[in-house]
Amino acid sequence: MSDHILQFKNISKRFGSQTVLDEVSLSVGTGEIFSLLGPSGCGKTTLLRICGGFDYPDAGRVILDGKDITELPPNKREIRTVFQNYALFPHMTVWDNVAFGLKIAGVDKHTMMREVGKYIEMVQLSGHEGKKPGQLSGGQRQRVAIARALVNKPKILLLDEPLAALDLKLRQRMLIELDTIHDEVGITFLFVTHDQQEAMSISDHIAVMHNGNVEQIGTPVELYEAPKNSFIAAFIGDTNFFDGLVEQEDGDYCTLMIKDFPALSVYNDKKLRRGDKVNLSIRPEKFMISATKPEITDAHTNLLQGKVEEVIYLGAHTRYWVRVQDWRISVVKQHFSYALDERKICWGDEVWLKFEGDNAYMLERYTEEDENLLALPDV
Amino acid sequence: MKSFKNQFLITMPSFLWLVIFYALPVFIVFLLAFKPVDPYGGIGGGWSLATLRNLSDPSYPVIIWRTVWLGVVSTAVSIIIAIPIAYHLAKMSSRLRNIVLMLIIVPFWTNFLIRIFAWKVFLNPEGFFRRSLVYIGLIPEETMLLYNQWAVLAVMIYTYLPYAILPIYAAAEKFDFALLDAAKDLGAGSFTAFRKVFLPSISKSIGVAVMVVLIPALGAYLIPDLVGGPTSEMIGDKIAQSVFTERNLPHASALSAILMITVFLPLLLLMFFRKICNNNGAESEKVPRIGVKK
Repeated sequence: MSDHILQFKNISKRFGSQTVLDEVSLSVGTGEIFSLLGPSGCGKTTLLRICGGFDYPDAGRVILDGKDITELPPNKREIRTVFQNYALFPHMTVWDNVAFGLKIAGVDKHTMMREVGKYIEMVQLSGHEGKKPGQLSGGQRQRVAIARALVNKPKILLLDEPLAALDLKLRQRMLIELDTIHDEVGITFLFVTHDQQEAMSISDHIAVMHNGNVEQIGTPVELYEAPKNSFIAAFIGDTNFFDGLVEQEDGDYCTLMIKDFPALSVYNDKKLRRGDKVNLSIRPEKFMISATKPEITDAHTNLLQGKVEEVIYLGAHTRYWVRVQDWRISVVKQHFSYALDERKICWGDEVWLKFEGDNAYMLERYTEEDENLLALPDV
Repeated sequence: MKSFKNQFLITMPSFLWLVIFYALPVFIVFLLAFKPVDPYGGIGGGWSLATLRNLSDPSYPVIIWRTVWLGVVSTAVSIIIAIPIAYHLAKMSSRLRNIVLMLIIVPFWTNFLIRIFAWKVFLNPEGFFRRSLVYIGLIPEETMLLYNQWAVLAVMIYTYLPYAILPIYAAAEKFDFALLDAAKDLGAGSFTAFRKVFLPSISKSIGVAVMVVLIPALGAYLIPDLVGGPTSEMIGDKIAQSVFTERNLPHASALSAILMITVFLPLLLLMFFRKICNNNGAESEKVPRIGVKK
């Protein structure tokens, strides 16, 4: 299994009576950026600490490059961590911080000078070598932490919410820089975050965690377009949920009855049968909003009629809240053309929402538990 | 200029206080060394170098040497014991920590003299402790635990240990233990992480602890007087003797001056080294803290 550098096998961890990780298994591919994504308390940081050697699992194995490292102490693992608050040594200069790992490893002076210089340059901190961490800005401190962790050429770099302490603009810039650094060094990154946008934009694969379980592992596109359950659908991006009943199977499609809606034709990839209850997820951008009734050419195109309750203009796109009977639907319209020339849709307007049956996504049956998920903040 | 004037006014009271109650008395003590002795135990008129000539007593170099080594060793041992205690105190749960801190501070509630007498009872030739050691054969029958330098050293360490623990604990408590994780993550073993990351982070407080312990340790006179024999006198005993027994104030002043110089010398050296270190860091201090661009 050389294409998987890191594997977690049935990792369980309890703190007191609380199960933090429940038989978690996942594999991280060599050279990729793999994200552990989940709300706080989902166990992602514990999993990272187990990987780094700062916590030991109650059960399960951690395999690094074919070797079982479950019992190894942190200093015997070829893994380096960028800690959440960077944990730079305050009494050492930038140079000494970056050189620390090489000094411990007993690397000769010449190699050390070259390597430390190289990584400081890579994170664009040349000229700051003599400063103490206290004299650096948040972004610079993070670069020191990254250089310090990379200088030993670990097999995996763990990043524990590395951007959480930075402001929004800087976060976006560091995200791009992290990606560049990753391309440059080719080391596998294991990235822990609670911010789905961060994870979506940087990862090759994401494992979404919830209550100590891995809910789904997939590429960002898979998670967004084909979420395995309502938790993922709600956690990754925005969506509208509708609970309904399968009225009739129709080849690859099925007819869905949802309260107050006309019969909808939706792609039936789950092979649901007549009478099955489902939870339907339709992303806001999948709706086409128009003030005039659009023409329907395809049998699987659906149309809803409603009234605009809220309009939020955001430049690149506008977000509408449309009332259809008891439903309040979030709709996003991209402004492909010059927005001033478009016919404006205003508060109170009667509108038509069109969506293709292929673009809606049927999730598992709606359950009581999903109630709180649906109540996630709707921004 | 105005702020300078304000600073001057604000610091004036404490400055005067220091001059009147600290600098002046010290100066007087130094001055007394150059006064002749009055036959009735007071200070005579005029000036004299007789006291300084009397300092060439052959027993003094031995006593000064003993004072220095007892002071330095008791300080070193106190600090070596205090560092791991402070480290573990800082890592403890707050409930346990309060109990242990309490135990460290509780002896202060008992009079110092009584605590020394407790040691005298403890180390007594007929005491349980010595008898047990003899019984299990750790020490020969004729070994005395009391009235020697080792008894003085033990009681000094006992007395000054809390003074070493408290400042070091104060620094250890602020230490970010995630830094030790970071050091281990970078390949350091537990001890290397402790030595290269924890110790440098609390080095300033170790300096404070050295001062807080070393200065009173060098001036100790009750401990050697009570648990040390005539062969373990320290300079503090000699000063007390000159004042109370020989009624020779100039002589006591001269000895005090010697003690003071012994105490101040390492302090000055320490400050000197601090300054060198600070000067090294000063250059980078000028660079603006954020938004640095090449």
